[in-house]
Amino acid sequence: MKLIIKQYLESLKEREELDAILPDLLSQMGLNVFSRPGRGSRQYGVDVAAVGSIDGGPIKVYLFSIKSGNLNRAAWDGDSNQSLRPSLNEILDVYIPNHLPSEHRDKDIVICICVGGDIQEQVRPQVEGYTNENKRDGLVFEEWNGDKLAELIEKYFLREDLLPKDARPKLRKSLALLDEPEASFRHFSDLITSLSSVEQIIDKQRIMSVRQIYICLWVLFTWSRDEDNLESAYLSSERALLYAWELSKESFTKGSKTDKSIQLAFTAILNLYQLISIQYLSEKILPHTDKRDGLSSAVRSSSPLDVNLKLFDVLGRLAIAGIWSHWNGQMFGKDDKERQEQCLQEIQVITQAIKNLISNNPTLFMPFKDDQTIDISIALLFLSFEDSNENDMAAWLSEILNRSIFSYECDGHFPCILRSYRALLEHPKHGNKDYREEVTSGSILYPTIALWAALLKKEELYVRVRKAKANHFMHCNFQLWYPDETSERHLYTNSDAHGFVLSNVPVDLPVKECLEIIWNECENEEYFNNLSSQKNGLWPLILVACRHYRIPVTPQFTLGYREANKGVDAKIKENEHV
Amino acid sequence: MNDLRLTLLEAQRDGNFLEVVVQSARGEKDNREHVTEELIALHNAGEIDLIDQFIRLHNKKNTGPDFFLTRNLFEKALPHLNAPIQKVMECVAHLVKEAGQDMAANWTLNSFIEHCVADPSRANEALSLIKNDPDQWGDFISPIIVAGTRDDLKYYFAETVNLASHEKIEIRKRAVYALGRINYQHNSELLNEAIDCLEKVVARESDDHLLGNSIKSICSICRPDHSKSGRAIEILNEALAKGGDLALHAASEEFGFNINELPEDLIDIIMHYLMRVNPNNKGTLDNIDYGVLKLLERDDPNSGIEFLENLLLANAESLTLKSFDSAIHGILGSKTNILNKIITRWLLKGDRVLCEGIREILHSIHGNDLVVELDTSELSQAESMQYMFIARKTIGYLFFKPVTCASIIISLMRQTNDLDLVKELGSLLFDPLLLNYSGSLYEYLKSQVDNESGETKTVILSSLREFDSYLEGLKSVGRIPEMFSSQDHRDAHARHLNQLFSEPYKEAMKNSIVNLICTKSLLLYGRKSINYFQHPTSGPQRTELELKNHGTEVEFPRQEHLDPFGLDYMLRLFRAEKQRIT
Repeated sequence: MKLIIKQYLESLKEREELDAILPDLLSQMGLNVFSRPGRGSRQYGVDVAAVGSIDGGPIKVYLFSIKSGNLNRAAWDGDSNQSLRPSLNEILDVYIPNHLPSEHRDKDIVICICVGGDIQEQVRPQVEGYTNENKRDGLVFEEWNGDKLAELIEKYFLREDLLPKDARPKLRKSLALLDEPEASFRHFSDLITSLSSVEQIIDKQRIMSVRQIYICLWVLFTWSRDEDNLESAYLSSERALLYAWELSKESFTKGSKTDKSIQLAFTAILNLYQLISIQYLSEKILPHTDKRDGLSSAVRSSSPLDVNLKLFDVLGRLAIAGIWSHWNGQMFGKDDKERQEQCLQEIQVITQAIKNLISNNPTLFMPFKDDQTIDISIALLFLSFEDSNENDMAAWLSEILNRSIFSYECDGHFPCILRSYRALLEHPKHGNKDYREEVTSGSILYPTIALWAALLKKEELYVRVRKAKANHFMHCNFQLWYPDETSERHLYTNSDAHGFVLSNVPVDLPVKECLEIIWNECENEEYFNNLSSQKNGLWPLILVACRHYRIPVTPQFTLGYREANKGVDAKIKENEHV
Repeated sequence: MNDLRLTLLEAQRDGNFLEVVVQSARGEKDNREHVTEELIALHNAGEIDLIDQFIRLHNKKNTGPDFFLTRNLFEKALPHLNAPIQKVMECVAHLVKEAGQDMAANWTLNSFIEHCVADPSRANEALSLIKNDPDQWGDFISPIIVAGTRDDLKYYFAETVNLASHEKIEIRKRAVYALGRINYQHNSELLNEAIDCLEKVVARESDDHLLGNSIKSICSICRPDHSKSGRAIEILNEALAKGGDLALHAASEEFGFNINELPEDLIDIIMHYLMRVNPNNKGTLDNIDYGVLKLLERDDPNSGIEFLENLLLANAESLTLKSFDSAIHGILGSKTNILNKIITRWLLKGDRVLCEGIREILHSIHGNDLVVELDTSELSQAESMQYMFIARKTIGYLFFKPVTCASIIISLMRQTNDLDLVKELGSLLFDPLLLNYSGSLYEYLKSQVDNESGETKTVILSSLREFDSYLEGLKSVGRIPEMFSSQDHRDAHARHLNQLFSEPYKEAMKNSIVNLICTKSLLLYGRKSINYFQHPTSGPQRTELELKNHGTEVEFPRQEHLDPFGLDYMLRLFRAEKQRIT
């Protein structure tokens, strides 16, 4: 196990990555972390600062200066401002005399040279010379290399008695099967489930669980990165995020120290999820969306079904990333203009990427499965943040409808409710009317198109859905999903079916009336607003759950259009009055 | 007494006479004639009753001597045998019946005719038998009339005319048929009487079979004497108008087998009525197919092309060119290159049944795709806006023959000076053709660059460049393991494909020639098989058989994997497109 952790530590590429893990480790060791890594430069050489007792020893102040990988000559005392020796000088010259909190000034100080790998032999004499020269009473230097960190991680996070019995093998299996991402993810999600099955009343256990999930996800991510296959890490990060929220959500409404620790631990997982998502998209997807058939060919399968499934999956991931960028932009607010600008840029890049992805990979013009509407809905939701996308959205939906109906008429690969891959391979069974009706007995695709046609004020498109219903789908229950009172309990862990559907969405009614009925259902119950992620401003989590567990996107997300309409209607009335 | 005679007599005694006869007649032709002569001699000498022997011959698979080979000996002997006519007729009727639906079933009747000709009293006696018991001997009317008229034309002709109005329809049918088989020896008076008789028959009768026989007889009368075609047209018209499938089938036989001897005006009438052929009647379609082939082989194949075209259009929902395999063969083998003419003409018309016909013709060519040069005389009638229509129809129907598609598009590009149109046509070379086929098509276009000039050359080059850049894009994507489908899915897909192909493979293997000429032997290991065969003189012989790789290559359109629906949608659109009528 230690070897696994050591390899993980060694492969942490950026200093920020090692920074991210250390505070949690120290907290778990019982230390009080009073300075965490911020963005930009270090705080006078200190990356992380903590105070407390390790293994029952005296209470000391621990000041960490962190360097990723191995410490070589350049990293010790090179030209870079990230070199270690100047940082240590800063700690001695500036931080300790001037910035160490006054309550800790009377305590012994340990300056920790923290490296993910090892101090290389070529530079060891210089390091030892430096530490011997600068140590004094009440101030010593310690070397925290990969071995020590791995030992501490194993001891404080993954110790046998801290982990469920079968957790270690699950982690090992998920790492061993990275080449087969679905199998790897299966083991990792089992690991998450077992780590999460704690009595949630005991806060300490909850913190421990979230931190364990976090460290395991990190291990998986670094191994995945080395294997150049982030698929398992991506899926696992979604699952980890949702389970971590389930473990943490109660603490977001409270303010105790433990609750704050849990909040921090969850935020760390959210950041890691976003890091994995960004890395996956920026390295694997975004560079190729502008190439005709580029990503479709990358599936390297002779089955069009594989291409279709994979491309809609990628679409959903891109859209979710865009939604998180949008959320990040809102979170940073006007105070952090630089971050806000960065988020805006990300949104623009992802918007263009989605458009390119669709136009260059025509399989995205018709889902094979009805539940791919979930990915379509998330993409539409993201694109709807910008008015200028409306025509593209409508054109895309129009083509989806065209192809789906045409395909149904000529017994092609029309969208169906089948979910099993094997059943989909045999779809469609030509010339079998009963089969056709059976596999289209329900749909979220067509009512979703109707809903968005109504929102985008594309009456002609709405009418085409109505005609399709009348001509081909009288047997089909057009439906939309809403959360119910049990959703909060099951949404983040998919522990049971939940929510309710508006059956037989009345697309035969005029646009406005149909829309009112859909929206009325949003208003009738407060279940959506009572979802913990919604209440705490983390609404993208709902969409992550929808994508991850294949739950339809609720129309509540479109209520913004109603508000906008009300504004327009009021304005019209006002003008009429004048 | 020679050995053969002794053997035959012994066989008669042993009860295996027919087996021994066939055995003795094997080998050289002279041998057969010798056996026949011996059989005649033995029969006429009263040593053996051949009629009695051959009436025991049955057409059963795997038992007894070969039916047709044995019967053939009887047919050769019959004209020279002395035997009571009724007994002969019984034997002949039995042998015809035993032959079943075979094409050669009635050949014995020709020998019977010769038997009757050899002694004119036999025909007379046989005719009496028929009159006394028409139900039993009706099938002999035609051969007896044919035989009788060779001895006494007027008498037997008059008997035929009388029988044509017999109370029993089965007798009338055969008598009407016999009218067409008589050799009138250019006796104009009798010919006119025969036509009179046929006129009355078609006016009076409504039975489909009988009308069919009238058609065959009138055509038979007209074949050697085109001067009678004026009255024949009336008879044909009436018979075909009143008749059904059988009448049409009779006409199709004339069209298929006697088209080069029939007067043109009769052919026109027949072709007119053949338009309403029942597509379920394979035999009729086969006859039409032979007729079309003969029309296409003429110096001017236009009437054949037009007839085929009109026939397909008239039966667009129920008939395809697939039913006319001889015509397809004729089109492909034509020295006047009517293939290019048909392709141009039918693409320009754009009708589904015609365009599918083109596809059918091209699919029957094995090996490399055909390079087509459109027929300029047909193309001269097209407006330049119709060029895109032709190009899109080409892709819609011939997409799976990319080189042929490209050659047609390039051929169109050559025929126009409109630069925008050339570019528009050329864009199809890239999308969808090159986008889907990067093998033989790419090579063809590269080789074609040197043969072209001007804007056509520029556009081909630009398509190739565009495709190169597309390929570059695909290559630059490289390996993205995250995009791969899971092992489970790959396994399931492989199993699905295996199931999908194993059934058709088994079906195909059932009819494979490999099964007929080879025995199967499975080698579990190794690359060679060593066997020992026992040689009659030199003992065991060692043979070594080395296994060779055998394979075939089919280029599959790329979009079938990436966007099958989009591809299908586009092709359907191209196929369904109609010409704008201005």
